[in-house]
Amino acid sequence: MTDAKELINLSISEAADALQSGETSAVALAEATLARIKQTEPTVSAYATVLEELALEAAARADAEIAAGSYRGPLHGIPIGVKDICYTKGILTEAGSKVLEGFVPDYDATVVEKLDAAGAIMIGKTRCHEFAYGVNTPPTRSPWELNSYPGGSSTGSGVALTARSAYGTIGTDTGGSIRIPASFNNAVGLKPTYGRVSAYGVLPLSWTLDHVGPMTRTVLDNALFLNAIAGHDPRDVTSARQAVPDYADGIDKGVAGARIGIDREFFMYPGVIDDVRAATEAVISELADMGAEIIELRLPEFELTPETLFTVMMVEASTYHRDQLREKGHLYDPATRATLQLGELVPGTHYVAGLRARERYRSAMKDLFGRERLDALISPTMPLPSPLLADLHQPRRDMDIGESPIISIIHHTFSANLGGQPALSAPCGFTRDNLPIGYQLMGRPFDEATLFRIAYAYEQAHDWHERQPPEVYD
Amino acid sequence: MSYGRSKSDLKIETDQVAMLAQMLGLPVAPDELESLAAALSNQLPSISVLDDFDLSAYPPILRMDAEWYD
Repeated sequence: MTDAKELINLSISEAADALQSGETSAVALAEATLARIKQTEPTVSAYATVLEELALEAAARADAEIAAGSYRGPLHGIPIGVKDICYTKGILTEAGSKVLEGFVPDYDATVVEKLDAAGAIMIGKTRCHEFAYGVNTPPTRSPWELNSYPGGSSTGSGVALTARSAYGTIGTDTGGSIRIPASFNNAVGLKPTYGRVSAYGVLPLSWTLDHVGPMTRTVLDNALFLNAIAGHDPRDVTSARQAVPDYADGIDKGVAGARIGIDREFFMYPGVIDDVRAATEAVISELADMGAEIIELRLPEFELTPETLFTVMMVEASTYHRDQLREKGHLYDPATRATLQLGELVPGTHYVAGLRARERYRSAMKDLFGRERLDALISPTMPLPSPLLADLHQPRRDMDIGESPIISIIHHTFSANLGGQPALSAPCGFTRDNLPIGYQLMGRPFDEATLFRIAYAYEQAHDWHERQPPEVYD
Repeated sequence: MSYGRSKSDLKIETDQVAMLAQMLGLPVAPDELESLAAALSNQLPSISVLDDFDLSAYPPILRMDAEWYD
């Protein structure tokens, strides 16, 4: 297998099989990916830094190890991208900010260490919103529509997948920053349970809401990726001690008997466009046909999640950036600086009210899962497809609901960050304008395996995840 | 950027924001005051959405467990 186009379109699991059988090599995968990066980057700019030399050296080492019988697992020899808020020893880490211009960490984030131990080949650092705050937009563009919002804050991590310039990527998610770019770029993104993946060495945005997770092209790849990066880390005080299962084990067992809840009042609110509503209803209907039980329910506490999360996130972000804002305030993007200023002016009483509201939400969600014996909740990931960049902060033109697209975008994702439960976005169709649509599954804490099982069953019946954007590259 | 779905007549003046920023040592340029005052006027009332929920049983307490020596 030597055709570059064929190589870059392999999933991680397919590439791993090809590596093990000797059909291809890690160097061939790295070379094909680097060639694809050269072709696509002038148009999409998914990468802040490309590590050509290091990647080729690591790929050669991987080939030697595999040839010697020291195969480390499905990520061995696979080119991946890492969001540029993750510390990488000896490698530029700028978090999309002039504040960190030229910063080179002297240690690796735990997630980077774990990927290295799994034999993955770090092909580059992917672009993100400044400090992952999601206020400004990086120069990254989605090939699905170059004038549209590519999602964020793990922007490059999403675009690299759909541009076929990485097989998997690391993202972070404080209010939806893995699931949003996954949905807009026809990819699979998992925000794991809070504490499931170590955040050590990852620049914080909001300590109590931050999550690190995998972004891939298929559900199975996502499970394999999580296998490599999950686990307790004593260097991260938020890291969970819960045992890590094999997330790929039993992924094909189907959904018969699974109890899946839907709160239509919140998740099908008037801001959801018809194409998204229809695509999500089709997923629900199909899962029911496969044997899942669909539970209609209502959780009023969903209504408190946007304001609560925003209050908590703003104050925590401004706390982290407090000294830096005073020392290097002029180096922040004006929009980021304005939001950090605002966060300092939110009263402590509001923050504490946010913490109390979060506890009420968590408690209500726990009760709901217990009372209804739920395996998952389902919803659209995004109420709308990727909006035009020019429209992002303007009142929505498609409907008069008193909110801008950027506010609609976070409506469905905030709750899983607030509650800390796992949430996965996966492709489920396209709009009439050929823009990707994703659906979201939220699960029980530390039960990512059930989300993978449900999403895998749906994915097996469709080819949405294989569809590619137009070749817009010069 | 702020998040507030509730409508409010709250209008914080720029000189109030300037005074607060000065007290906090928060660097705010004169040309940033107006937009910051507007954002704060929008943000502060947003928490009123919580008025619909009884939070009396949910203090932000420290929770302890017995697994300190595992």
